[in-house]
Amino acid sequence: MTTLDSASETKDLHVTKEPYQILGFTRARLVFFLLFVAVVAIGPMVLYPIFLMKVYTFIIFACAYNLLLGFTGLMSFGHAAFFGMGAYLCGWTAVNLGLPPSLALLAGTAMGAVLGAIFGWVAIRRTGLYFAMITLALSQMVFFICLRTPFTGGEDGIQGVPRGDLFGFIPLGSDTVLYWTIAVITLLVVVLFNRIIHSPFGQVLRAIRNNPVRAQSLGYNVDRFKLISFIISAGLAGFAGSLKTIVFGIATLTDVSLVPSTEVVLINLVGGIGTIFGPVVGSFIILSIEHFLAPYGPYIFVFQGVVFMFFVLIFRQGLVGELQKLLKKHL
Amino acid sequence: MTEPILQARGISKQFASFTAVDDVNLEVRSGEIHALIGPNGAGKTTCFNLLTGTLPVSKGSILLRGKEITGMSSDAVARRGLVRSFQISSIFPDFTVLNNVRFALQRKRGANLDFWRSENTLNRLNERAQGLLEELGLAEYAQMRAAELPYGRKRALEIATTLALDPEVLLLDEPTSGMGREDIGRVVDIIRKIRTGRTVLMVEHNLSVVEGLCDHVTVLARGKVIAEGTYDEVAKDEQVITAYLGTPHA
Ligand SMILES: Nc1ncnc2c1ncn2[C@@H]1O[C@H](COP(=O)(O)OP(=O)(O)OP(=O)(O)O)[C@@H](O)[C@H]1O
Ligand SMILES: [Mg+2]
Repeated sequence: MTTLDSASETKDLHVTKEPYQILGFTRARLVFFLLFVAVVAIGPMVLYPIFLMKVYTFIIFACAYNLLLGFTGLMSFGHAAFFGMGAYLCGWTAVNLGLPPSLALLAGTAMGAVLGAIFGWVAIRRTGLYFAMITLALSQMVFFICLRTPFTGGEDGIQGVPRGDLFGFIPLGSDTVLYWTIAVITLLVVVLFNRIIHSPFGQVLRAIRNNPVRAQSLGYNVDRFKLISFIISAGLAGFAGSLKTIVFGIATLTDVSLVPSTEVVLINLVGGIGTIFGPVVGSFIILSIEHFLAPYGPYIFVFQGVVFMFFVLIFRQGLVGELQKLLKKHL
Repeated sequence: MTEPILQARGISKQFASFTAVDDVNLEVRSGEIHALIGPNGAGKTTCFNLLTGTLPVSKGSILLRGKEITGMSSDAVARRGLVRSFQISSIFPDFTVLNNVRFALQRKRGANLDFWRSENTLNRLNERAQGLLEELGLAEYAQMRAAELPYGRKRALEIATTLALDPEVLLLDEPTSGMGREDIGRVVDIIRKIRTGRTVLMVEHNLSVVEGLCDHVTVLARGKVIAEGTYDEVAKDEQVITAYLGTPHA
């Protein structure tokens, strides 16, 4: 390594550490974020708002997942349990207890976090494939329970969930208001996600992902940090599921099935595991495929399979990950 | 004679039917540099794994400052002031060199659960981290990705990271392995410099390093302690000579 090389390296990294960060974003990320804001603003003129809102809830879900996979190094195959149970409890409390949307969302989020604590408590000592398999098994158990208990409404699901007024004064019944509320929440979640990753806590998570044995030998209680990360991720997944219920007015068995669990993996893989904007880009792409290829029925799965293989074989870092390499900037 | 700060009483480690460490007794006295030597596969690294709680013992007990630490997890042991480095460099490859060291400093001085604060709050640790890098001749590499460091420097970085915790007892697993003569000299100087107020237990294959640096030597072969004493004492020991014959070291 020549001195010249290391000098330019120093300069580069120095730039990313400058304190004039806005919303905690570095310059490159701020550009990306503003692009996203633009898409959010222009989107409803071009595409169905309901489709966009689905994308946004999945962005939140995918951020939750990426916190775990991309920044803590834990692979879960059971995230639908948190997403789906969040969706159910949000719907159930809104319909049966008449809770306003804010409290129903809170209930769904708490559901995800509590379930995450249980899953985490069982699985956290395992690593790699074992960890993934335990989360898969537990989420299948959750699916089975949902299938058999009357609380979920069985095959019908929980229908007719009222949108209500958020905080008593934001009438979600209006499609425009709903759209902007969901959009702003999603933008805030991306800001929060970036903040968590670039906090002292996030630094510990990234170190654990880099080298868990060394992190532990330096005195960090690795299992505890992993568990906290898991609970945050599960809570955020529950929140995403709850938002989905508010948007569509319905929570169904699909939400707790394997479908969201695999979708969220695919989204991150396509977008870029371990990047801030991977979940955003990935959600747009995967849900667009589903949306626009819906008329072709089961061929979607073939197409998704091809996309999956393409990224695993050629674009291993995902779109944002590859762009990151190209620009030499973290995104 | 000073008190043993670290003590192993009859520790053993069984891997299936294979005994890697067999009823080892070890007393490391406060303030000394103590070497653990022996041929390849003798069980030195496994001993380190047992002492630091990286692996659970099959039998025996471990005491730090007279207090039992047997069965504690490695992070708990580290927080009690017994910190190790690894035989195969163990760094955080995606972090900058500076952040590797800062991450160790962060454990005691950073608000590690604060997820809402910017990591820029950790910049207050930069100066101290930079100081440690300077001590190990790594200052110019501070902003480089750790993965890109040359091998010898990675070892140095690992030592810097270990020192950042200001541990009372340091366990170094072959700190000079794979290094050129110059780097070895530097590491030896560093260990001399940092020994004040500390105790060091080190695995070392380079016997001239052991001779020049260590107050006390324990020789391990096939999981058992075969000799103990000063370097000159063990170097004369027949069992030791037999154990080392035909091995590529010395
Ligand atoms: N996790 C493990 N499972 C099974 N066997 C192991 C394990 N760790 C070490 N061993 C075996 O225990 C013996 C001692 O290994 P250890 O690494 O402690 O030796 P060492 O003295 O550090 O050798 P070296 O000088 O090569 O580093 C070896 O035969 C090794 O194969
Ligand atoms: Mg070894």
